[in-house]
Amino acid sequence: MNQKIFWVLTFISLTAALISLTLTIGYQKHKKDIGFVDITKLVEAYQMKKDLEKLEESRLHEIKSISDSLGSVYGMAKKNPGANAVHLKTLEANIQSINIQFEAEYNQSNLDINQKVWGRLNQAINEYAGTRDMQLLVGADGKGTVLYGDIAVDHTDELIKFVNSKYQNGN
Amino acid sequence: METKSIKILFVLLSILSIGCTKTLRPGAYISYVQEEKNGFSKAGQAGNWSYAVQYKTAAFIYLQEKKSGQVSEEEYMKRKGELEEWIFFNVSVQHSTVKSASPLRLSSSDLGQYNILLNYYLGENRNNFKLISENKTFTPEIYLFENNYNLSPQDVFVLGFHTGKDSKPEQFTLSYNDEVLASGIIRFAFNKQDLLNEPVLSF
Repeated sequence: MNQKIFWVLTFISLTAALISLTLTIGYQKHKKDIGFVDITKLVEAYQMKKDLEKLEESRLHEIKSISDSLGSVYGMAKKNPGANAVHLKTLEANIQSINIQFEAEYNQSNLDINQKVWGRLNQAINEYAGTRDMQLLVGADGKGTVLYGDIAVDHTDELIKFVNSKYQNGN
Repeated sequence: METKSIKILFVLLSILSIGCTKTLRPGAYISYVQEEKNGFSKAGQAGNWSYAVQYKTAAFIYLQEKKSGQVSEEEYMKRKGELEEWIFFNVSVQHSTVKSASPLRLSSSDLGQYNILLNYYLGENRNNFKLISENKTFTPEIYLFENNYNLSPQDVFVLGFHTGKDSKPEQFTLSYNDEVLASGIIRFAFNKQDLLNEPVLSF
């Protein structure tokens, strides 16, 4: 009789253990991943940003070189005691105007690049998180958004590879 | 010894793969080049805009020019010779969901702006396309914007890069900095293996 009870209890225990194991595995399998990304590193490593900056650099360089050459003309003219004061004033105003234009172009260019970069990055990040069935991907920007992140949930390098590969292939 | 065997195997496989180059009739050839999985046709997405690139091989161009006319090997070889220093593409762009107007029209708030953008597309936009190879970057020498007068939801650019016969790259990337739609730079990489697998046109 006692032996029968022993076997029944063993059977119940084993069944319970099996159910518990199955549930744990199932939960682990369906538990959505969370992670974080170093935003600064991501943006700086994004190839499209580098390419856009390179393009803008040559355009801005043209404006800067006009300002620089006018600056050197002004410098020489200023040293000349016989220089016309009105001409000097006009030259100075022109240089100032070009510098203001340069500043405005530079700021606008940064805004445009940021907008384009984030437009494309958001698209790629959604795809990255979607294909990995992620629950949350936090952007760490060094300002306290993520106070601590284990290296195991750091997706920065993987995401950089992903976004650059997407960029090479039309996305 | 082991390295030698690997080398021999590699050479044999290479010979075998050359021997396996497909030979296709005109209709099948066109389909092959247009199928995305074969690497001659590419698609991409940037924001709301869908981009598509068709790399046009000499055989593809010849067959497109002949339409349903009679094709001949002699004529094809002559045309191929004329095109061998060039790399051609068609690049098309359309809105992902709105199919009632062209991107040019969708980006314009009024007729004045439409005309400004149209003029940009007709000329200056050429400089936004680049063909990047391992050691050289090309700007298109042939550039045509197909003005569809807003009758199509798709805007198409035809590009021809003169690479020269000797410096024709084995693999390359087409890059487009879309200033009008402000999508940023769109890149399409064409890899060596796909290009080597180009089928032979049979007559």
